[in-house]
Amino acid sequence: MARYYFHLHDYVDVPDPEGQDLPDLAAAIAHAVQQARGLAGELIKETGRVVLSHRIDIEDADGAVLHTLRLADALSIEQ
Amino acid sequence: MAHRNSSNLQPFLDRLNLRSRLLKEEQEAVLNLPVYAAQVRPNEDHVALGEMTDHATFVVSGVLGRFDQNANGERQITALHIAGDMADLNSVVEPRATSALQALSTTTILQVPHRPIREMTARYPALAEAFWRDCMVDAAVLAQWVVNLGRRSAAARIAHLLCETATRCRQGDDKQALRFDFPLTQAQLADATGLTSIHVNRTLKTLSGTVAVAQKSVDILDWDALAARGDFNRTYLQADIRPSERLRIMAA
Repeated sequence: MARYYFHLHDYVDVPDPEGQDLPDLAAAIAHAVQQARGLAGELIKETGRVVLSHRIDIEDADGAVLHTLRLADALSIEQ
Repeated sequence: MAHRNSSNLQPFLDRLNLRSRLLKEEQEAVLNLPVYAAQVRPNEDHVALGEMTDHATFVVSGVLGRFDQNANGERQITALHIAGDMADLNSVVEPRATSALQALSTTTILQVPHRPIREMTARYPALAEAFWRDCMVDAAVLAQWVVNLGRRSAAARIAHLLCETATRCRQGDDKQALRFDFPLTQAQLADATGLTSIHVNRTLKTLSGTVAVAQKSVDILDWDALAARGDFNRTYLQADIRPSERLRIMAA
């Protein structure tokens, strides 16, 4: 287990002060995907708007960015 | 465990007295219930899902979360029990736990065995009535949580929960606590509001002018703004009933 931090960068920067203990980076990315989908869903419901370039940076305890997930990466949108 | 001190139930009696009219003899019966003190570590289930319990759990300090879960084991918090709450009074009449009780921080509890509670309510029906009335408040809170999940925005859900907790911290008072212990992580707050933890974090930032949520405590900076944001009306909590409005339906 390692602690991963999920910092959101959308209209504002929202640092994650607590982090989450997860087995590995793959699990952290899967967690970020769920987080992004939940966030996008609520934003669409409340405002009708979602910016696909907004992103979640997954960092380790030392502040190194291990992975960047854009909202677009978590969603599949068809015309 | 196994430390007995009955006067520790005074806060429970105070809670009952808020809404129900009890005779001196009935009040003494509550204070004379046997209790067993215990401490529950954070994230430890005190009552597991489906477990048969033989006691009700009174919260002395800390917070217990009531949990349910889906088939994948994902948990949803369905109630928060704070100091002064008898978390599962309903277990006296249905001992099989239909939801789990987990400590969200180090929590001191008193276990009150079911049998003496049952004997007491058989002898004093007005106490059964008082318990029934208080369980109705738990049901009213749950109904508000359903409205939260189904019909309120992320900011309103969190604002409502914080206003509710502030009011419950000061039962018997027409005011609310503007600062109170709230040892929930953002992930736990997410489990209570049906949001993701990142969305909780984001929402707390948008509410930062009205409320400051730190790791262990909450500071409400602008009560009126937070209550308006949360669509919060305290009536359902029945927290400030006047003495003349206290009920006693059953005869002495």
